[in-house]
Amino acid sequence: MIIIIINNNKRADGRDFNELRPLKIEAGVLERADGSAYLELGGNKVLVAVYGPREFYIRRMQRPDRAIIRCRYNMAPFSVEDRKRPGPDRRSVEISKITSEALKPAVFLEKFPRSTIDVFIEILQAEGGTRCAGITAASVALADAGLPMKDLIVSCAAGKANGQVVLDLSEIEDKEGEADLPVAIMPRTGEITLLQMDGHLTPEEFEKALDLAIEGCNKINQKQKEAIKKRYGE
Amino acid sequence: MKTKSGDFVLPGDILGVSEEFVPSEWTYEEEGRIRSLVVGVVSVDNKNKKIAVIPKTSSPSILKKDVVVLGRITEVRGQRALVEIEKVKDSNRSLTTSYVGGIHISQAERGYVSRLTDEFRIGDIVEAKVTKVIGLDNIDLKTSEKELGVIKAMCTKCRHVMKKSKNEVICTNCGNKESRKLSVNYEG
Repeated sequence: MIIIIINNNKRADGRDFNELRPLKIEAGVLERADGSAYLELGGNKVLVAVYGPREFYIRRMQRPDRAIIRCRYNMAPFSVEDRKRPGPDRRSVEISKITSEALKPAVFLEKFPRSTIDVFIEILQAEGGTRCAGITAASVALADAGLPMKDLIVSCAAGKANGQVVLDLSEIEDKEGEADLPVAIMPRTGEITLLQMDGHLTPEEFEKALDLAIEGCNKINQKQKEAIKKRYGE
Repeated sequence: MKTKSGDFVLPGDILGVSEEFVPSEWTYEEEGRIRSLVVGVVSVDNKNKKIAVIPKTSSPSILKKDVVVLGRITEVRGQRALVEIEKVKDSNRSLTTSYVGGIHISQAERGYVSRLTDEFRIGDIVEAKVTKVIGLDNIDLKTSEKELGVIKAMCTKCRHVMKKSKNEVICTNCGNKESRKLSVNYEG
């Protein structure tokens, strides 16, 4: 049994309630992919590759007027403490689906009829909040692939742990805590492209958590922009 | 908020308002504002009042007029040769979907061509220039330039690769002679 000790409003890992874990983003890390990104958020390590728009061989799934985004979220067997059985499972299929739906509104898919954009998200190391880390990195990789976009997509989670609404839950806070609220937004317009909730929050707590998550997204967005600027220069 | 040539922009960054410029390449217009679509640098054309973004990243291959493509001849009809376009020359990005282009007999060579089978045969690898794109299924190509035409030909009798000699190609296996619209870059 893990006990989260909160002394004078600090969390288990000593963070403030509205503090993110240390974040690092790098764009264009893979040679053969059309676009790629690497992201570290606390103990999370995520590698994303984007291929396409390219020819879509599954004819019945082609759209005559636009491209489609296919996502594959995959956790490496060594990404968690106990070995994760390789291959898709219920959780990763869900995350793949919501990731492609979260990214879709930002990309001008109608510019590439009949084609597909493939996004591969590999979780090399997991420590809570991997779906958000995956979406954030995937959007940097899409920009790196030179795809026409409205905005970058940023994602960040908030939640409730030990009776307190906090930002960017770590693995223990996620497991032992009361609620988890991953949010993805387009920061320019504030449009929400992903909103999930696991656990229970009162309406007031929900509002608070959502505001907190959006605040976190805006901080992460700065890092995304810096990563792209670093890769392609001012 | 006003941008100038050479400014570094990210997707969604405002470049100007639609009253001052015509949105050009890699830009889009939304609610009267011209925004960037990609990561790149701004290029302002004050004479034509156009604003564009020059991408800093690699860009997806797009077929448009005057782009040189590589393809394979799939069919030679009376007036038209069909080409399955494989890729855009000098681009390492794949095409976004499969395209079939057509070379009209009048666009195959500079002078008069009596039979199109003297220019192309099924299976030849050609370099051609896009002359017209209408939608996804109507792409016109031409090979009437020195650097354009067949860059690899196969013998119609034995399917061996053919060697170039003056204005014709000779099969290395059976000695069969055939005529083609050869590119100066022929590398059979």
